[in-house]
Amino acid sequence: MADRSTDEIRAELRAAELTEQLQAAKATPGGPSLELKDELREARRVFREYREARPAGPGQARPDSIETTAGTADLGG
Amino acid sequence: MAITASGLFGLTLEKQFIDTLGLSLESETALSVAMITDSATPDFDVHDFWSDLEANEVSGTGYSAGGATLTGTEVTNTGGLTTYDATDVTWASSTISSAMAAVGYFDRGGATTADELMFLSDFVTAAASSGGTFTIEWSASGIFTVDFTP
Repeated sequence: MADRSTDEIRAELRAAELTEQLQAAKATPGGPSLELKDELREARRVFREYREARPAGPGQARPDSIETTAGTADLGG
Repeated sequence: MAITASGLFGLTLEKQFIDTLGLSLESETALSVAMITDSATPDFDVHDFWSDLEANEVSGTGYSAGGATLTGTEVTNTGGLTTYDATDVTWASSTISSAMAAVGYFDRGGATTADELMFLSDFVTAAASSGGTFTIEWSASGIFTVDFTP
């Protein structure tokens, strides 16, 4: 498996950090802010794009894992 | 019989919209993710409870029936899209075969005939693990998106 780049590791850590903040905020009366949620959504997107772009090593790029396709519901016509 | 696409189970989505479900997609405890084989034939219009699909659930070392709890859940809106996302799901030290899709459902703790189906994520290609960590990597687009603009 190809090595993870520093940027990918940094992006994963950032997403994990924001996830912890989200979970902590859910326990508060106001809940998480929209800004925090947007920041987390973007951090996850960035991390997953790094992961998807990682060059494949011998065999599978990421053995024992599967990437999903997003379900969609088009309500806008 | 086969799994041919990812999608949302319409009857539960309807309950969300008309507020009769009483459960939040952003719960950190209410949703479970299980995996099923390609023996299943999901019907997004008709299937509404986990009992409709659980007969096709995978099994194996490190995997418990009913799956794992979905955490890090969030619903966001941007650019005319509602996106639902969560932390990737893993089964450590597992030996699992023929996993073809992930199914998200509200686990109410009782009979599976009362556990509302929410979404199904098609793996497209069957996945397996052999004494390692099986990871469901949610798409960079999230678990699902709802396009609410023309």
